[in-house]
Amino acid sequence: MITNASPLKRSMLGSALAGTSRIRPSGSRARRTMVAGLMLTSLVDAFSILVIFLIMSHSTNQEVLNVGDKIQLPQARESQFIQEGVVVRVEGGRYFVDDKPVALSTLAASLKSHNDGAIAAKKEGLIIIADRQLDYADLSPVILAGSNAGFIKYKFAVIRDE
Amino acid sequence: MHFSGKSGSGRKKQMNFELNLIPFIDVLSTCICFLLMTAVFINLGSFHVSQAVGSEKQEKVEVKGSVTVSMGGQGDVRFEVKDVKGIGQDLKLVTVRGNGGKINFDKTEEWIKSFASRFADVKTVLLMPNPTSKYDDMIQLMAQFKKNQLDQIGVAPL
Repeated sequence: MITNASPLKRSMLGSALAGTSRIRPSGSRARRTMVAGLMLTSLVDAFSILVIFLIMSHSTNQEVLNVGDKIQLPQARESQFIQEGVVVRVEGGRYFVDDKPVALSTLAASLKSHNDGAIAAKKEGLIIIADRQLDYADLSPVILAGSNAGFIKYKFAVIRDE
Repeated sequence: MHFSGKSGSGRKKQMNFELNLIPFIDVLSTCICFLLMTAVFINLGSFHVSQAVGSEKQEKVEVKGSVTVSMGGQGDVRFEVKDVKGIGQDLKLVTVRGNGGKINFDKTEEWIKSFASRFADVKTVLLMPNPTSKYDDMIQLMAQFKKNQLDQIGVAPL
């Protein structure tokens, strides 16, 4: 037993119940001991499994996007996992390309510079983040600018509704 | 944790030793706290669409008919089927009226389902929102099409 050669042996506690028993009070005569030992091995096992699971889920996580504070994404079931790409965010009437504010007049040029710089981005398409209540009139310029910049595919960011 | 062993010569040799698990638990707890705090619990997804009108398409895809969806004011949605042989008038041009200014998604799904069940070859959808169409309504309509295997969706700019 773990208690044989451990400090726990020296710190065994006398049973409080045994000491106050009316039928056979044994608190003063024969010492009955109650060991307050903790089996830490199972706890370590559980913690290890938890850590491995969390590390695995971290490593398989998809692209982490900066969704603005004021943006409430729409929910949809039939969506795919989001992948890498140039991100355009429409927030409060302002446009952000990869978290940098861009004027609407220079949106196409900014997207083109991003597209020219990365071949992978062109393959993956343009990720659009917008609020669910946004009018299409504010979204359409992004699609037009993306088309002018050479993007073929558009990915509307949503919250996956499982 | 406690280990013991005996030597083979008969003389007992104590090999008891203890492994202190407390620092190990401390490290694991710290790891768990860090991983939980940095975990992303919102599961983001995306809808893949292309530009329906005016895009410089690089690949030529054979299109076996298409459905043009026009989102009007007051939640009206008009479905127009093009280049599909054998389609009846009941499906070719249908307008689903809005319900209190909002899109009647039950009716739209009903139409999409009946169309997809009869014309499984048709995969192309062109979505034409109006300036006041809500982004959420567009997504919900696209989700209904994707659910019914019409997954080549394009969005027309204004």
